[in-house]
Amino acid sequence: MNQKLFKQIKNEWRSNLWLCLELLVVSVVMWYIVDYLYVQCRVYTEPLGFDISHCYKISINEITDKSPEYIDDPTDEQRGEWIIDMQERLRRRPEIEYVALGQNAHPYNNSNSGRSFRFDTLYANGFYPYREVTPDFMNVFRYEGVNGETPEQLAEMLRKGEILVSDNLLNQLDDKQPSMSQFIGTDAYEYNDSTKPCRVGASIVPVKYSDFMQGQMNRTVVMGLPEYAFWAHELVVRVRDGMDKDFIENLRADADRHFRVGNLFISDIQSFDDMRENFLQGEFISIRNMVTGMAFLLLNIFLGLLGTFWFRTQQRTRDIAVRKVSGATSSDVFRLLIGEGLLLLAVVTLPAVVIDANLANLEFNQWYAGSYFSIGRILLCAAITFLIMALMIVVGIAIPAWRAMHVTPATALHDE
Amino acid sequence: MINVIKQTIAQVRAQKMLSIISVVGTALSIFLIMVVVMLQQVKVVPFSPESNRDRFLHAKYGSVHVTNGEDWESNGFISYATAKALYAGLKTPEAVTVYTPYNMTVNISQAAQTAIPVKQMQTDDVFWRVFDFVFIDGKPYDAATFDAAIPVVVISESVSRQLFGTTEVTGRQVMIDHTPFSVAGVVKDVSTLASMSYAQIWVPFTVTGLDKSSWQQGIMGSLGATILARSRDDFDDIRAECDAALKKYNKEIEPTQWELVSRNRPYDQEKQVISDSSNFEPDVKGARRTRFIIYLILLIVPAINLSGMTESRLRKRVEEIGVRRAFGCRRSELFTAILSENLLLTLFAGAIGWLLSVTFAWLCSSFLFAQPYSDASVAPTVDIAMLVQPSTFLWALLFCFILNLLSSGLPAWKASRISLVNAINAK
Repeated sequence: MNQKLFKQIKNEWRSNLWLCLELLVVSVVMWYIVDYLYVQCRVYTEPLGFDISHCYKISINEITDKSPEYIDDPTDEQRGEWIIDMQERLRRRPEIEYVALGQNAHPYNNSNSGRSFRFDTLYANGFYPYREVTPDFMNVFRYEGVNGETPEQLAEMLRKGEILVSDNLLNQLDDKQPSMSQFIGTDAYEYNDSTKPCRVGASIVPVKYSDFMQGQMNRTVVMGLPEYAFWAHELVVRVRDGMDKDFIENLRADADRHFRVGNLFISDIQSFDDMRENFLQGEFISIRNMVTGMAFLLLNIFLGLLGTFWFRTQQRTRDIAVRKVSGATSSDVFRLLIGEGLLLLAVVTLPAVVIDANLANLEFNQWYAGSYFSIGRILLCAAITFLIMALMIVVGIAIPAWRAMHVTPATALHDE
Repeated sequence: MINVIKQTIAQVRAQKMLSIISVVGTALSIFLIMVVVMLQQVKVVPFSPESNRDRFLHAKYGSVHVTNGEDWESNGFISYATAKALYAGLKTPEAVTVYTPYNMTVNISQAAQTAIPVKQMQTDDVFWRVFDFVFIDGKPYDAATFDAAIPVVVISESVSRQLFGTTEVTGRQVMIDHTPFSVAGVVKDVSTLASMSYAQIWVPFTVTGLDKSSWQQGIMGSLGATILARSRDDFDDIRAECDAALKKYNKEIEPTQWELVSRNRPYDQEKQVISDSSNFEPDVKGARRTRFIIYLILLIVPAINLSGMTESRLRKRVEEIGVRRAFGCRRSELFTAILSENLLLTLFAGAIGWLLSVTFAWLCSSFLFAQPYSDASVAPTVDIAMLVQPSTFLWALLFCFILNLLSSGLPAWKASRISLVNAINAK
């Protein structure tokens, strides 16, 4: 069987060369796409470290001095009272479970703050989001500590003026540095400032910046914010389970009557599910484009094999008929043709993997878990590529092969 | 020419399956390439209100760095004072507008109705000269209105219909976030693809006090700028002028211990559309390279595919080629004949692909042209004129030629070199 296959491939070497070339190019590009999708999928399925279900952002704004309702020259105390009052009123709504205030803190945020900290003698290098929040922020997004601390316990620590650090704070490049839990109960210092120690309350489960984010932005330091922080304009709430229905509409309808405090008013209410969708749109677009590209390549393999083998079976009608006369069954003919296609793919896969590995070595592919080049990942993605392409080859050849199966020797060899 | 057409049709008839596969493969390739071209095109081709995109230079963000040697910086929108110092005073450009190059949700209502949330942009008066909105009622607010901070608003056609049921509403009163405004004019709805000017209502930013709001010692704020050059040839002069203004301004703000870094701003339209974040300079060359690689893959793979098939088809015609050669047909003639036969087929398939791509883009615009970080609930709208640009057509034609050359050049060359005796013997 195999000998027959090799002979067959050798006889058609010229058109097989075209096929091989196509399979090689497609295999490499496909591997790149499979690698991309694999990494995105792995990153996407990693735990987020926060929970946005039933969460809403309530945008607060101040009316302008052109409004008849404007209170002139408010003092900072007044503004602080207004924002406290606003939070109190929201808390009194039956469907709202927790209310919190934050500064560049909530998930799917386009703005970040940054600060550097020193722990004992270790600096947390690079940029990481620094989140200033009121204690209940922990309850709104359900942050958790690595030692099993509940959101309530974390909130209590913020109330006591302690800071929370993400467990991966020292892992700038996903390089397995020690866990931050060793610093619990010790004092941390802001960069270049040894006068203001901040006690580390807990090491928290890493909070991802967004679903597709890897690396340094998934680290964080959380610090407490007083409730009168009028300068922090991120007001977030968690709604009780099962009370989401019409939450936005109802609150919007009540906004003018019940939520006009001083110069403050509610300007917008958004669910975090919507904010997430907007924020991740770019990544979803890339994935869509990659999948489209993959479909295009597969369709090309399909067409290429369909065309080539259509032509071949046409050319080889007599050859197939002779095979049949000498005892080959229809399924033998079918298997021979499919085997030819798969053998070509197998031959091509070897150089393709070499090219893949080189591309990974040159860092053209995706960065994941600290590296571009990982033998396990290359082999896995190459294997997935091989399987998908094999499937397409079988489909492409099946149509002409099916036609070949039904060659009737008597008609085909009529002339002989 | 007629001969070529006749030949081609005869060939298609003789090789139905292979011809169909070739046409489908080519059409598919051109279809996908054109979709990629259009994806880029909607971001850079001119359409109202951004008809002057080729003359735009954007400074959406600014960046400041501390001067004491430490590695601290702040990136984002700039204050009115900074915008005026850096851009508004430029001599070379035709106009410079300062505005909020982003949307904020506000609530607008009429009389005792419940308020509806709309996207608001805050602008100066020059904005209406830089961006060519189509006014269907009233007119834009002028410099006097802007300076005097009079609360007026320009609303879009659909907002006007939602509030009043009509579009003739100039002078009528609306409430925007508890402040009374009077309607200055009504403009045609804008596609979200007009990334710098999209909104549903526009107000002067002096009214909301954004001209005075700032942080980072008055350097950063909530605004950005767009420069309208007289022509693209002025871009270098304008950039030089901007750099000089930046130097001068940095002298002025020296006591604040901050200095502005330019990151080579302002950016032209092509560069602006890939600038997602304020803390990096966008990599135009990288983006072009990526696009080039995508085109290359979309061309090479089908070309290899088609090459194999063209060769198969030619092998069937070896005898014919031999006879033609025997009767004195020159190699070059044979080569061009095969190439033009194929070109005819490619152009036919290309036309199908191109038509498909335009139809597809038009029908599926809402998800096809969705932009990163945009509001997913507002689907982008496209005009057929945005998709059917003369340049798209030329691109499609060019890609067809390249595809044809790639896919039938080598087989045709080889076919024309077959030795006469072998050819007639059909070996």
